[in-house]
Amino acid sequence: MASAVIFSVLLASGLSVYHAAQENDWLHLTSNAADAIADDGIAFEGAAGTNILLREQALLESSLFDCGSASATVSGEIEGLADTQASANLTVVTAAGPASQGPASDNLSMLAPFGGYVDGLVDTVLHEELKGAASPLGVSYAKNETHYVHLPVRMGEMASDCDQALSDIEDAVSNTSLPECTASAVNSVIAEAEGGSGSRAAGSGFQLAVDSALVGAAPCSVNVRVEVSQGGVVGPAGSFSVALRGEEIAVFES
Amino acid sequence: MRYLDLVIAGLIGTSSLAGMVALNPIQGDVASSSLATESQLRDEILALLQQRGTVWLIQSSPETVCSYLRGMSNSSVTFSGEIGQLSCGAPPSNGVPTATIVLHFTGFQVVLEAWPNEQA
Repeated sequence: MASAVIFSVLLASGLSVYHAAQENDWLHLTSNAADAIADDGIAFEGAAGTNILLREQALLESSLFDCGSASATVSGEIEGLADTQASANLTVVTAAGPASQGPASDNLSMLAPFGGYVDGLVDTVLHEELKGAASPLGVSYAKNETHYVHLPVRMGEMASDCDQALSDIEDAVSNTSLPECTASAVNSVIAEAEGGSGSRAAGSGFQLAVDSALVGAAPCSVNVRVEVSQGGVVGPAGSFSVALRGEEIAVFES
Repeated sequence: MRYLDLVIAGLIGTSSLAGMVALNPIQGDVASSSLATESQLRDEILALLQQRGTVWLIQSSPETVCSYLRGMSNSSVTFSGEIGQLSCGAPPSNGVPTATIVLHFTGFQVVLEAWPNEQA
């Protein structure tokens, strides 16, 4: 009888110690699992942001944008960019969109030097949805984050220089009366107008190229094409160029 | 009668002790400790990643990244991985708790690993 009491007390004490230890282990296990998912989440956000920047660079360097609609076109293309990073315990879905404002510095330091919003550049907001679970432990993880990144492309400024160059040439042409509607006479007028626009573009760090072709003799009219480009842009996949093109028919004074 | 008492007491004692051995809380500690180590190693991989950035990972050659991981290894932890097709080194022996973070970049994959050194 005495031995039954003694050993039962011993067993009960052992059981309570065991349960306390189990609970302690459970807390540590769930805490470590949640920590692991959170770590993966930060790394995945960095990878997703990098992929979005890579795709933006590919898009910008492969296209010749129209001066009048460049910013809207790029915004539309950015809107469609997305990325998914996944592991057994976590999925991070990232949807990109154009940003018109945002913080200058971003807390996702992994995306340096492209982190944060910079006015006048190609800015992107990343909406990231993190969903994770460590099923046997009953840990679930859900989080939404927003980050801002940019590429150092001065799209708006380039578009403005392009429009201004076209406007300068149109003004010069429409205020000039040519005795003869010949290519050389037309080119000389356009070259003079191009000089001022070229200097302005160069001052902004852009290159300007103007191309023209006679399209009519009465009235004397010319098709003018202007291309403004920003070279040496440093992106995540290396240095690249972005170009915008504008086109118009200019008519000389009769 | 006394003999029967002794047998019963012996049975109770033996089964109680067997129960206490079976419910040894140390067994749970081992699993918990292994996960804690992995969690700490994962923190260290993340710290490396935050120091250099994910953009740096894609801008650098695989050899440069492997060299950096080797350089950051120390007496307590070894960093390694696979950068695209390049493996930075042999994995640890079986049973060593290892933390792994896999990142998918456009066109290639980066696997970052860390494990504790034996003497640590």
